[in-house]
Amino acid sequence: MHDHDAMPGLLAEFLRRHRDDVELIEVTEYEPMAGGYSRSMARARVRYTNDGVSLEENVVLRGDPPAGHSMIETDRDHEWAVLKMLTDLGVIPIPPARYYDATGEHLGTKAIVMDHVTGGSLQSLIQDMVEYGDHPTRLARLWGLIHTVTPDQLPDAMPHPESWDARIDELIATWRHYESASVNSNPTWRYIAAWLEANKPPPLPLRLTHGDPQAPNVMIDHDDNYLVVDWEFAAIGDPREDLGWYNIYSTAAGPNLYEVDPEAFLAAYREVTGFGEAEVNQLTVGYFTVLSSIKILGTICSQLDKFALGENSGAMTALQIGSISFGHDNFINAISGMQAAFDAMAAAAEGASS
Amino acid sequence: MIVRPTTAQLLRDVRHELTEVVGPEVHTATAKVALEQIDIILEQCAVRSGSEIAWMVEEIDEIEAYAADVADATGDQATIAALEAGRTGRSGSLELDDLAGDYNLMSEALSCAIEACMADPAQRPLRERGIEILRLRRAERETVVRANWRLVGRG
Repeated sequence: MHDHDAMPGLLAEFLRRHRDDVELIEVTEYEPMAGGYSRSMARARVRYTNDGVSLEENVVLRGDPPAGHSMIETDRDHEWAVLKMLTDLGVIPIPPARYYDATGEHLGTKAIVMDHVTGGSLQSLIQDMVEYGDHPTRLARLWGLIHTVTPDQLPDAMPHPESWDARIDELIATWRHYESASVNSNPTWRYIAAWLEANKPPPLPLRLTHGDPQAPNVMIDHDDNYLVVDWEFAAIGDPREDLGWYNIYSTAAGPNLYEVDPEAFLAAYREVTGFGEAEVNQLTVGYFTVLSSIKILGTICSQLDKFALGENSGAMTALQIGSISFGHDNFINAISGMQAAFDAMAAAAEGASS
Repeated sequence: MIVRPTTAQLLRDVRHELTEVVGPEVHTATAKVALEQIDIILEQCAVRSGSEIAWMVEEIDEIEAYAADVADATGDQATIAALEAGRTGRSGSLELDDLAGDYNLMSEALSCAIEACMADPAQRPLRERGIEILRLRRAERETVVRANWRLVGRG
C-alpha cells in the first residue's frame, strides 16, 4: 500500500484472486486518502470487463502504516474478524468488507478492501453546520444500537470479561500500566487512576463497544443511512465507554453532538438500549469520559515513548503529544466537577438524615 | 554563542517559509495535511524552547516542598522513598536531558504524595494542594504548549 506506483497492478492482481468470474480487472486510479489517523487509507477505481462490457466502482483500502510510523498499534486480524462477525450478525449498519490480505504478501501490508461510501463522513457533513437537525438523536440511537449486541452474540475469540467489576478494574489498571511503562512519570494519570478507583458508578450489563466512536467513523451513504467504520478497537465492555470516548474526542475535534443537549442525547440513547437514568446520566458519562480514554491514549503514549527512544517517528505521532495534554486539562477539570457534585450529594444526604 | 535570534524566532521563521513558500507548491491532500501538522509541531517547539527549562526548575522545587509536607503529615513510605530518590538523584544541571531526568524523578514523588492523600480522607486539603500543582503547573502550561494544536485532516 505504501508504494503508490506499484499499487494499481498489485491491487488488480489481488482482486483477480477473488473474482475469477471476471475476464479483466484493472485499477485505473489509486489515491492515498487523508483523514485516517491510525491506518493508511487509499481509494482505488476498479474496472471490471466481461464480454466487452465494463463496469467501474470505487473501493477503499485500509492497511497498516509503514513500520516505525504508527501513531497507534492495533491488530488488523482482530478488525477483520470483527467486521466478518458484524456482517454475519446484521444488526449494525457497516460498509461491506470484502477481502483481506492477512499476510501483506499481496498488498505490501496487512490490508482490508471494503466498499467505498459515496456520501462522505458525518464529520464532514456537520463540521460547518450551525443547526444539527436530528443528527444528535440519530447518533445517540446509533451508539445505542451497537450496545444492544450482547456478549453471547460475540465470538469466543473476542475477550469476554468475567464481570463488570473485572472490566472496570482492568481499565483502571491500564492507566497505571501505561504510566509505569512510560519514559515519562505522569502524576496526572496516577491521580486519575486513584480517583476512578474511588468513585465507580453503578454497573451496566457488558455489551459490544466500538471503542473509537466519533463522527469521522460514521459514513453516510447515498440513502442518508449512517454506516459505522473503523472497528479496530471493538471489545466487550461497559457501553458507557463509547459515550465517554465520543464526548472527549468530539470536545477535541468538534462539533460535539452530545454537548448540544446532553439530556436529549441520553434520552434517545436510553430509549434504544433500555438502560435506566440511574446508570446513564451526565455524571456517569463524565466518569467514562475519563476512564475509557486510556484505551486510545495508552497506545498513543506507547508510540510517543518509542518516539523518545528513537524507535518511531513522524509528524502524525508527534502531534499526539497534544492529544495527551488535551486529556490532562479536560480530565482534571472533569474530575473536579464530578467531585464537587458528589460532595454536594453527600452533603444533601447528610442534611436529610440529620 | 549567538543567542539572538532565539530558537523560538528561528522556528517561527521556518514555519513562515513553509507556509508561504513551500505550501503553495504542495498539491496532494496527504502532503498538505502533513505540512499543516508540521506547522503545529514547530509552533509547539517554539513555545517549549522559550520556557520549558524554567518551568521544570520551578515545578521541581514546588513538588519537593509539597511531597515533604505530605511525607510529614502521612508518613507514607512510598512518598518518603520517592522524595529521597528525587533529592539524591537530582543532577542540578540545566542540560535539558539531565533536567528532564530530575523532573521525572520528582514527578514520581508527586504521584506518590497525591496517592497517599487520596487514601486518607483526613488529608483532603493536602490532596487539593497536589491537584492544584497538576492543574496550574502541568495542565495550564501544557495548554500553552499546545498552542495552535488541532486534529488536522481528520474527517
